[in-house]
Amino acid sequence: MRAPDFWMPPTSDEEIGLLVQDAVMEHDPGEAFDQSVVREAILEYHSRTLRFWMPAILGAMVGGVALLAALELLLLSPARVKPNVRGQEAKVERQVPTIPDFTDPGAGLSRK
Amino acid sequence: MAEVPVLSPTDALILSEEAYWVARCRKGDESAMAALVSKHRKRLIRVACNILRDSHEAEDVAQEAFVRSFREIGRLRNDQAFASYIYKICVRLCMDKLRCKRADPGIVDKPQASEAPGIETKMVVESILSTLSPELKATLVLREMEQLSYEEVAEVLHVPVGTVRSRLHTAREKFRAAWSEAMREHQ
Repeated sequence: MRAPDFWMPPTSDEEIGLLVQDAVMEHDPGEAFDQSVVREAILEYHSRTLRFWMPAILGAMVGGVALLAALELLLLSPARVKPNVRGQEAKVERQVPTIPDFTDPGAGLSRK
Repeated sequence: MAEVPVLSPTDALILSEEAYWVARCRKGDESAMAALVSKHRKRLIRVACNILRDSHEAEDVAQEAFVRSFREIGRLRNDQAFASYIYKICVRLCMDKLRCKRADPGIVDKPQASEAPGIETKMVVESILSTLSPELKATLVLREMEQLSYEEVAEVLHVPVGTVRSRLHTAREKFRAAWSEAMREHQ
């Protein structure tokens, strides 16, 4: 079927179809488009994966820090509890500060 | 009962190849994504160009359609239906874009000049198409430019076949009236 005369209004649906088909646009951006799409899709994929695992990663980090802090507190504590050996009760060891003995200031000095 | 289409060995091979790429794409395989983009690029950009009448916007929409389809590829039940799946996403994005354009009075559609023969006809057709609503325009473009059947247009636009027929009728009537008007002004 021939395209309708430009000045005549299209009468049938086929003529309108032909006129519309005349305005078909073809455009091919080529390989650069492919690369840009794949780059964006991969970026999106990785960010989505990271978002998915982020709560677990954060939870593990917080748990790890809490564990380290607990260990640190346990090791540096001045009061250590000894295990009950030979049926004895647990004994608490305290570091008692040593006080110098000032009652006899001359003690230890030799007289001539 | 729906008729089961009989596939030729070549078609079956192409479909199984597509299913293979889709399955790999789900795992984030870059080469599978590249294969799918390369395969569907031309078709998507062409339909976006014809609906939006702007090659740059068409590229943007096609890119968005690919990224969105890869993001939601887990929801795709039939791996062999990727082509129609991405095509629908692209057409819907185009319609969203057209609706945004119509809502924004600052953006005016202008037919793009080209050096191809029949430029006058093409420009008149483009200016008429720009006056149609997104729904009418998409229906007319899918039917006349993309040569889809009524059923295929209905599936892509997610409307009943009767709606497609009525939209086409309205679009053609409006086209005819606008054409006569344009010719009167030209003379």
